[in-house]
Amino acid sequence: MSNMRNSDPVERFETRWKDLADPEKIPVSDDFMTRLEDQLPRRRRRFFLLPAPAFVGLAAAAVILMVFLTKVPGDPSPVNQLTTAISSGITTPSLPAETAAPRMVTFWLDRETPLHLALKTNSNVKGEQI
Amino acid sequence: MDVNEVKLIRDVIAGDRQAYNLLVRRMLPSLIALAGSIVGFSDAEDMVQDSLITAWRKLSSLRDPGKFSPWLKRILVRTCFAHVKRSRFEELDASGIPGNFPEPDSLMDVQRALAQLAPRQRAVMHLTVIEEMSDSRIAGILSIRPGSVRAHRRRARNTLRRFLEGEF
Repeated sequence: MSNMRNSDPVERFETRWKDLADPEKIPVSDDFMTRLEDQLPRRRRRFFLLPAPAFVGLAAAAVILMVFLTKVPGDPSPVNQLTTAISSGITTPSLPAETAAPRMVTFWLDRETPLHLALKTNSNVKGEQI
Repeated sequence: MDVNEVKLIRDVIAGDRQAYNLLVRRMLPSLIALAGSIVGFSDAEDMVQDSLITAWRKLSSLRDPGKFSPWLKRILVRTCFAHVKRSRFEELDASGIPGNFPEPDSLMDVQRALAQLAPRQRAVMHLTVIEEMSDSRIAGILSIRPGSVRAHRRRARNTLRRFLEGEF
């Protein structure tokens, strides 16, 4: 209001606007913070803020770890039976010999990986069959 | 920005709810003023609420505590633009000024003049006149170039001059 003598209407307008929109004069509803508090998510979980590829990687790592940790020779657990069934199936003569997938898996199993060694020591799977 | 505020913002980024509430209380009037200039004061609080919830959810994307304020204002401006776009057939509501505002008649005059401007021009004018920001800071908040800020301001002032010469 101090600059009312200024003849430019835009400058007068800006001066008036600045007076009215002074943050100290802006009223806030009493329940604003209560409403905000009600709508804010209760707890931020940084884990869920990971990007999707990180989730996929974590899930894959967890599955691999679970297989290694739960596979015990002679153990009749589902995971053990599943890995045994998979490894046995690869060398079963009834499977089509020319399908690409078993050969790829066989190639993968031929490597000296921990999984390969674990399968070799399994009583249900003969090492030479792999 | 003092040391305490930087620490407060660091706490907010770390997910501290109380720090967020404290920071919000400090910034609230200026946020409502900004939203009020763009969408009108009848919807301003709703815009600020939506923006604060969005900001809370996106806090992990903010790395620099010094940029909290412009970051939050960018979210608010975008929320306001989206609101104006949704209700593009409605004029900036000059009649919906809450009764607890001082000098509501004068504020209504101001709102009526702002209603002549495009939403982006209102934002540029608010950040220039009320917050006295530099063109580069305004450009950062509005995600446009400083040259565009100057162009928006020039057009806004021309429009206001034409309106005000007949009004005041």
